[in-house]
Amino acid sequence: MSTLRAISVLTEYEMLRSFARRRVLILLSATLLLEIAIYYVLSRLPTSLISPIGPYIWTIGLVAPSTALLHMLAITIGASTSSEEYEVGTADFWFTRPISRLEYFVGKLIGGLLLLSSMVLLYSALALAISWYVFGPQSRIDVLAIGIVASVLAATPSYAIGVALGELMRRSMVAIVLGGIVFFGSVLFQSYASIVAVLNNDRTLIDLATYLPSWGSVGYTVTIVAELLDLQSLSTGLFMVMSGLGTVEVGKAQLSILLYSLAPLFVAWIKLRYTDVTRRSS
Amino acid sequence: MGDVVKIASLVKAYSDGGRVGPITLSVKNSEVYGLVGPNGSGKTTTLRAMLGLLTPTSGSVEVFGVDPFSEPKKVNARVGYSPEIPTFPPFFTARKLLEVTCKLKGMNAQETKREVERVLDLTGLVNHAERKVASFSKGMVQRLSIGQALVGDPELLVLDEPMLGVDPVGRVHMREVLIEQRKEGKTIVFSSHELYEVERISDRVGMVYMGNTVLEGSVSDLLRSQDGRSVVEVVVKRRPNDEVRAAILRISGVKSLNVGDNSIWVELDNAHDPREEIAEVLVRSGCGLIEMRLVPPTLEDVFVRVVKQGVNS
Repeated sequence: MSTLRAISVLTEYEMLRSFARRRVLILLSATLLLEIAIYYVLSRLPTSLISPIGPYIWTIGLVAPSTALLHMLAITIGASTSSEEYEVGTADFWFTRPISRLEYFVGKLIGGLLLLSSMVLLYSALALAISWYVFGPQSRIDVLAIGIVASVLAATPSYAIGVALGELMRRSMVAIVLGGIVFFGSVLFQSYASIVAVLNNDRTLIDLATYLPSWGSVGYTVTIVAELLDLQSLSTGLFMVMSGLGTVEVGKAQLSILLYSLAPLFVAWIKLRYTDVTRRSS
Repeated sequence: MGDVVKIASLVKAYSDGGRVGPITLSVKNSEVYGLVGPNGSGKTTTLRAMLGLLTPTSGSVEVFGVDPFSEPKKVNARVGYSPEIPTFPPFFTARKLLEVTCKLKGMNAQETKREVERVLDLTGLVNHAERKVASFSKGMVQRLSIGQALVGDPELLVLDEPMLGVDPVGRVHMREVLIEQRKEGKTIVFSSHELYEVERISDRVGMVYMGNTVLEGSVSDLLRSQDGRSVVEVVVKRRPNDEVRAAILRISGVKSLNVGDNSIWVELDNAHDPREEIAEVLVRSGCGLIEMRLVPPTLEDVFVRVVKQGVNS
């Protein structure tokens, strides 16, 4: 009972704390603006090009942020979740309450993930609303819930990497920059590996790219959504347009997401459990 | 009376090369223990080790018989802590902060409501309950910090510089709160630069200097100790000349002498009380004697001597 209470207090606190931060709100605004921009561009395309995917055009707004912006949002939330308590000086407050370090860790993790989920829900709802308003009635809305879950799942490795770097560095800005380097470095390598593989007709580099943290997570949402809509060819087309990366095998992608989520969280937990609570650092 | 806190040869080495310890101290149940020492001497490190916020490089720390770093939840359920520089989530109101602490201490909604009102009343923050902590002055934050430490009536209070930044009126109020806690039989460990406060409130005092415990004992023992010499202040009619000064210095039990225009200060060795002889010398020499007052040694005297000895050695 006391464990559940402690976790729920920390979860609520983490959500409140995140909404009080400018950095997260700026990234959320950027994501919402991206949604508006995408649909503005799509609305300028010729009707003949848009009409085949018109009823499903809401899915583009669901998938597009999960190729890059959602991951930056996840890294920012994760890094801030773990490091800002040390920076601001509130770590002493929490670590002198009658809670275990595990309860603290789990409570904050859940809070960050709930925040991330609520942001995915927000931009997905916006995508659906704009699509309906601009392109008429939309179909297969039943895919929305699975799409949101897939997006959150796909962003979990970035969130976990942010949490680990935040705990290791105990400096949020450094952790966000490093997290960004890890993510974009991984995406870049994956893109170039795909191009070189096509030019050389050599799959070795593509196989190597499957071990990168971005491989499973960047293509996961679009693959899941396209499979559910039974639009494999559209999926490939959309995906190529939006990220220049290939689709992924779902099972392998889930394994990659699981490993790249658990490993950083384990590192973060070990650091938190076995090292001192540092005093205010800024 | 068992030991609530037991610190044995605590050494903490920091990554920047800083090092504290070995510090050894024990605090008994219902005792008020004052930890004094100059800046950077290791007071805060000692208190943080007691709360499980840091792990000793060597030595051991036990609070209620438990290692606070391994089992912080067990220890913190019985401890109230106010840090040297209290920092709370800035978007919390004072009420929200206390409510969260009550919840984590296992109180239900009714108990929480009652406890929050009690603590707000105790700390004089009733009229500021709905204000965000970010808008609080330094003194108000300090009062809130003491308040949140008192939530749930903890058995042990650990207060790091509790009077820091509090205005004189607030200071009197906080002192009353601490004295009240003492009357209720709470065990209190606090650090302070305000030696006057330490002397007034503490049963026992530990002095740390350059990372080591240099003195530990009851306030009266420390004042009686070899470093706790008394001073006699004498108001005279005429300033004593060199001959009179030499005569006073020859009296057994006189350690040193300082002369002002109409006053002299004679430092005494506590083994003897030479006041009668001093009076006799002054009267016989024609300096006269208007008033003679024994100024008892203060913790500040003891503390300053210990620091000076440390610097000299």
